[in-house]
Amino acid sequence: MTDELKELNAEDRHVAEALGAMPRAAAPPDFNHKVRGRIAARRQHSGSGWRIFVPAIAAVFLVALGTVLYLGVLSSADVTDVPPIAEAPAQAPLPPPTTPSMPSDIPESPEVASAVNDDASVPNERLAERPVPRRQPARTESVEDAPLGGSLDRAGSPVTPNPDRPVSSNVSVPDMRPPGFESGGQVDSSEVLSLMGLKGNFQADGFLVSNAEASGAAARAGVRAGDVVESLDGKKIEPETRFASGSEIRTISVKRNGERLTLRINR
Amino acid sequence: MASVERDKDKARSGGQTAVAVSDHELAAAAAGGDEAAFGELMDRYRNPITNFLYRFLNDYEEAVDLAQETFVRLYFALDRYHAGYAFSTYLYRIASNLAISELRKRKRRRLFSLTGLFSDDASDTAEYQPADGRRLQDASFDDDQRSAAIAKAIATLPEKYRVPIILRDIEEMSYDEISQVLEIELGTTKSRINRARGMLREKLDKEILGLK
Repeated sequence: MTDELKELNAEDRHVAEALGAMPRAAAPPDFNHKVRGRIAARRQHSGSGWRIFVPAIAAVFLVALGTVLYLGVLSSADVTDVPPIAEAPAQAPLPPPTTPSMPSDIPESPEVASAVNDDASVPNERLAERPVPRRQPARTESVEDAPLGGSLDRAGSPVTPNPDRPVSSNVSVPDMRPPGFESGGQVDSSEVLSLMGLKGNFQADGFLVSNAEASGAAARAGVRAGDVVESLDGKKIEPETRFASGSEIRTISVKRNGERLTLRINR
Repeated sequence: MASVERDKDKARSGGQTAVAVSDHELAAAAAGGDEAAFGELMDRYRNPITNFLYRFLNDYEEAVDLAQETFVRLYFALDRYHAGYAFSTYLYRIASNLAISELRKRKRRRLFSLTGLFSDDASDTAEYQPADGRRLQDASFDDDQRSAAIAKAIATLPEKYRVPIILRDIEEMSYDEISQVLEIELGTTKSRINRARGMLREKLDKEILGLK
């Protein structure tokens, strides 16, 4: 500062010295106290603001979240899952949809009765105990919903039928249709093979049998483990092959050690 | 500069001159919630800031009010302070911004106030007004009268000249520190200070400046 004053001209130096010589103003004694009071007031003010805004923001957030979730549920829900409310009674000439609990006293159709009666190899007592497959719920495209509890894999993975399901000694393709739709239904080849008592995998040239239950119609016809089932009644066996419900299988063609055999299924 | 002011103020108040803790350390402690550290910062700078604002506004009550507001702003902005430059620079920047805002408020009030439209209070104006040329006092005026004349002349300077000359000639800051406070180039700072001195020289009588 002193050096600079020397450099200044005389008049500017006098101005600078006059300003520097002015008495200094001091803060009042309660300065710190008042500053702290202001800080406390400012903090309380901002705090009260938060007390108002935080619940409001939280409420808005919750409402938005609920709306998003609600819309998400609506968009992900299948339309068929929505039960008809007003229109259902008015437009319900169709038979009732399949329900898990079917009445046990529904009379069987004549076709079913004749098919069962044709099965001479099965005693009537067993027939009485055997579940009636045609009363199963309507077919769906989901393999998980396959009747009789078996897990079907159309890509050729192992078929694991329900062990509790009885194996038919005769081969009659079950009618999987709901009541009122007894004509025109179809059953997968894997299900038919399972009913014949065969377990195994689909492969390129047919169905490789890993186990043939002795009581099953296939084993009684002569099918053994290691055989490759190529066709049933001349119809090539593939995962996509389907058989008409209610039809009966008469012959089964297998390949054993490179030799093709056509076995007749005994009644 | 900070330590000079600190020692000067403590010497005036009869306090101790030993300063063990730096401003940066105190600011860091205050930012962490140390109220005693913030109190120490107030003790160190309340008088310089009050004096700076008083010379800028030429109104003691207003100066004290803005000085208190300066420390309130500092308190809530301590977490944004970093030790890249002097603490005093940071504090004076807050104070000068507040002072300039207050000056502009006064202008707006005067513009929209009926009483202000007819007011000719020269001390309330921020615009440059040339010296009227007449002698303010006779040759026997005391220091208070002399100081009042200088203060009145400072108050007529435009704000862009008023802040740097107060910081330089009254608060005894270096040109570099003033450049940092005002965030302008060093050459601009020197130019403005020289220009302000020239304005004051024209406004003030030679007797006041001790040239006669």
